Amino acid sequence: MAKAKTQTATFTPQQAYTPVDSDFVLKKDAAIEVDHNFASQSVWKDITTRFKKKKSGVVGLWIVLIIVLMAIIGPHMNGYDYSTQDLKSKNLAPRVPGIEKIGILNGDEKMSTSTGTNTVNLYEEQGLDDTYYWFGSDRYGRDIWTRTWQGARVSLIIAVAATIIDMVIGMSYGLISGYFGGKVDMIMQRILEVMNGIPRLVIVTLLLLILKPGMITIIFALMLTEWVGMSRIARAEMLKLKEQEFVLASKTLGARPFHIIFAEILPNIIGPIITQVMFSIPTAIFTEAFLSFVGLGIPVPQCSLGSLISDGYNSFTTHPYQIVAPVIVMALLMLSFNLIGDGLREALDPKMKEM
Amino acid sequence: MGRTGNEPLLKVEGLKQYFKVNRNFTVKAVDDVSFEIYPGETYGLVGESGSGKSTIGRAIIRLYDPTDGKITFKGTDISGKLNVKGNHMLRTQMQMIFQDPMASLNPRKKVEDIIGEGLDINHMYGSRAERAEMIRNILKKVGLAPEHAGRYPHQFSGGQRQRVGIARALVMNPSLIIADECISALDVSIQAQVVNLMKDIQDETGTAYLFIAHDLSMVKYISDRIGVLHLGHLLETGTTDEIFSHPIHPYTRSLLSAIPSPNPVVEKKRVAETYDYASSGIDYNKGTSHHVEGTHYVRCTDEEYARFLKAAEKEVS
Amino acid sequence: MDTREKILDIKNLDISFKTTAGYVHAIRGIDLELHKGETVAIVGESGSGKSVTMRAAMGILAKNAVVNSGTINFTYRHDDGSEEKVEILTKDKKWIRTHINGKRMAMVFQDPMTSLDPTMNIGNQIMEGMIWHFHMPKEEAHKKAVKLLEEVGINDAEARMKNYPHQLSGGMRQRVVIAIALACNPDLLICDEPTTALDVTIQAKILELISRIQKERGISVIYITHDLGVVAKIADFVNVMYAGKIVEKGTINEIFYDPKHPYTWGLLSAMPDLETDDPRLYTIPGSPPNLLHEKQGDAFAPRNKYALLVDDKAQPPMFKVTETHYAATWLLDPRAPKVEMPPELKARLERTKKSAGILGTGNSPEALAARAESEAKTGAAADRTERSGD
Repeated sequence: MAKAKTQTATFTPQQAYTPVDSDFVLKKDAAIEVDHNFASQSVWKDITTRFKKKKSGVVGLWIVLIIVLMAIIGPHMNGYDYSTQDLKSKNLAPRVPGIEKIGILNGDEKMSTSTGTNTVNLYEEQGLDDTYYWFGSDRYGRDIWTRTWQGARVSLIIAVAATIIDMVIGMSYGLISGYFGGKVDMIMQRILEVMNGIPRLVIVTLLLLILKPGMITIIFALMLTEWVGMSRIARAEMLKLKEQEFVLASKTLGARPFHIIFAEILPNIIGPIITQVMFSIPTAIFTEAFLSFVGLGIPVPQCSLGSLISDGYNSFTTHPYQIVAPVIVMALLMLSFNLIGDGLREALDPKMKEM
Repeated sequence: MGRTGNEPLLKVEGLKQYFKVNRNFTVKAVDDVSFEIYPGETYGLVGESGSGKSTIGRAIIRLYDPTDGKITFKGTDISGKLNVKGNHMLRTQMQMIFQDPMASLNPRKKVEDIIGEGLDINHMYGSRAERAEMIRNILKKVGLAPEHAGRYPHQFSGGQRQRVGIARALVMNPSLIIADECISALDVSIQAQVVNLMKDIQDETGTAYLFIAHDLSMVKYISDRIGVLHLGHLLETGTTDEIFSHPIHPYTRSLLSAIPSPNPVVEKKRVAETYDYASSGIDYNKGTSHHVEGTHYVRCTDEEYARFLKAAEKEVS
Repeated sequence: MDTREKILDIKNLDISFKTTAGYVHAIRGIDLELHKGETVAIVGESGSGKSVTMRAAMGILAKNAVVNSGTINFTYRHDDGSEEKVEILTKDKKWIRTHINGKRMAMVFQDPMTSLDPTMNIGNQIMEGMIWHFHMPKEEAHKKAVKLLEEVGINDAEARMKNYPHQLSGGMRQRVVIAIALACNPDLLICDEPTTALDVTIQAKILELISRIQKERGISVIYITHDLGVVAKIADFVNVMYAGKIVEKGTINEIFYDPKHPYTWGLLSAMPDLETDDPRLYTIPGSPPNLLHEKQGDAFAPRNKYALLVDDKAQPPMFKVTETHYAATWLLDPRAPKVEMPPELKARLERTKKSAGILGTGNSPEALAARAESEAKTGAAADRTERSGD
């Protein structure tokens, strides 16, 4: 318990007043005010206040917003585009105008040769004085800065699209299964377990044999494998709420099952669902990256964070800078979504009732 | 208000509700219960936890499917499979008020949508303006201000939420409202408010109530007739007067005795009558109906009945 | 001359809670006393602050509580008879947990379902406190636990020690909770609405149990409830709370037979009376105020049929009715108009007083003498038998 620092901060003290004789009369129409309201803020304001309290969640949110912003404008910030190759400018180290004067990011890179390490500046060697690659260039001469943000754009689109479709399908599946219970639930859950048992890689590989590799295919593949988690959560929440009295009240008013599921119960589980979405997005990003890394991802010349990492992996020992940017961006994305999910989970589920 | 007709509005005959827990064990929540409710009257169904009173209420309104027995509502049999017309009548003419003011309102819906849900589902209005008008009127009737319509349940106190629950049931203009322990979760002073409100509504609209409660004190104020329930059996029925002035069954007497009286000097010396079914030697399954007087009936065996009457006489003398 | 030993002395307690919507001024100046061997009841609606006051005394306030002012003095005796007085609000939670909670002050909560640990059998739950506070060896603790179960009226105590909470009924669980509270021989037992969640027949038995324990052990009891009926059976003194303040306090007979505050009138009237055929219950309209926005003057004024103009301007002080009876209502000010309690309530009180053998109201010598006589009768009440097994 804390002692109050100033009395007035924690309550409004009564104003001093000395009653006079004329005060001692019965009030006309005393009492019977119509039952007045409890002033309290709306649910959402409560939630945002609690979310803001947890700093890590706010930080995560900012990082995600910045990356999203960069994914939109980044590829257009310098003159390069993501697929044009320029073999003359291949494997150049990062060089940023302005900062290069301090001595870093000036195009130098360390090369290990048989005689030891020495610093080399390919820009100077090739006479490219007016060429700047902010994150460097890859082995085909493509600008890594543009490709990184383009890759972030692709990864985000794939992850968010897949997760949202997952959410819709998984949620509906889980809600229906949980609401009807009995045989329906049993059959639906067994189907679920069978689907969950098949390894993801097998499904994706099979799909890619049938369908053309591309963004849609990957979204489809991710969707097929990730909905299970969402449906489990939805079903658990449904089981919790199914027997609540407001659901029974809806039944007594004549509501049909689908009305109850989607109009009554769904608004109450949005919280845990959105939290799960926040945790699913990093999983989707990572899965996509993994697929790209093993070569099952989006086709060249499109790039995603995973394919960039895969490209940069090959040159890791000679030109390590090529992998740094995409790795950092992907790590930040995954971390930030996890932080947001964490913050949301706490904000939506207050542990201690005040008072 | 008393009854306003001679034909029963609701007739429950031999209602049984069993729940199968596993292969070997079935819970007999309601075991052969019969009673009637007439239009415009209040029937108080009293029993402690485990008596089956809530189960009866939910079976009548068809949240459960009765295991056995017949329920007739407004002349229609509603205990079997319902056709569209029967379902519509049931869902509009019979309503329920629930116990927990927190859980009985959808936290994510505004009060006006909670109250209007029945109207929406059953298409009971022509225009949005008509709907808003109906909701406004009903809010006034239950003592809430019109601006409450746009708020959410968590912004209200328990008693106010219960009024919203009453409004939700009332806006449908039902002939029968089942009040399932609707005051148990409230403070005593708010309980009195809600009971007064329900009585006023009954005076105005002629709605009948099935008032389910776990103790006899509030029931006395609102009920015309009372049924005492224990372990799924209806032990004693009669008018409020008959039950309170001349209770026969020892369980009824223990319920009455348990009511605390606001009289400290007397109360401190008083010991409540106790009743333990397991050791009482009474068997509910063997009971038959015995007529005491007027509409007062007790369910027990002949031998038990003689015993109860003797004990009751001893008390009076 | 007050020769009673004072156990708990709360003075001018003032607490606010920090919530996301602002500060809620939950306790607005409370004075409360408890003497040895007495049962004091705190009666009020939800939100009146009755639970918060006792949580402050036990040192278990929520983290967002801010104590604006006040002292809570708790006096207890060591085994050697020496007295120890401690100011609860100055001690940190760890100290209170080690020295006071369980050992000197024990609390019985409302919901027996959630007060018991579902994963421990009840024997262990009773023994836990004894082992921790007194370092008692397990066999001794076990024997004591069995005796406690018998004391609270549970048959087959030895067999029940191995039961888990879900195997017991609500009434039995609450008896177990009381046994746990008594395990370390506390000086003060705080019961926070212990019977609200129970059936009415079980409630009657639990009340008889608490009253018997109090007489046998000589402990002091604070009983928190919103139901005045329950209070009539066990309390010696009553404090009526409204919106964080005590609005009336007095002996049980004074409060029930001669109430002075309109709120107390309302509470008494709201209790159904089995003796009459009144068609309506007189109730207090509206609901308790929101202490997020305090208003000037008496917090009860908006719901008070007998409010005066001054009730909107200034809070009433405590007016003295007798040595033990005080009420905070401007109606007791000499300048106030003479206001009678509602006629139905008056008639009811006349009836109850007659059946109790008390004559007249007020402070006339005959009335005082009659009251004293009836109080003596209550004090030497016949011993009660209490049947157990739930």
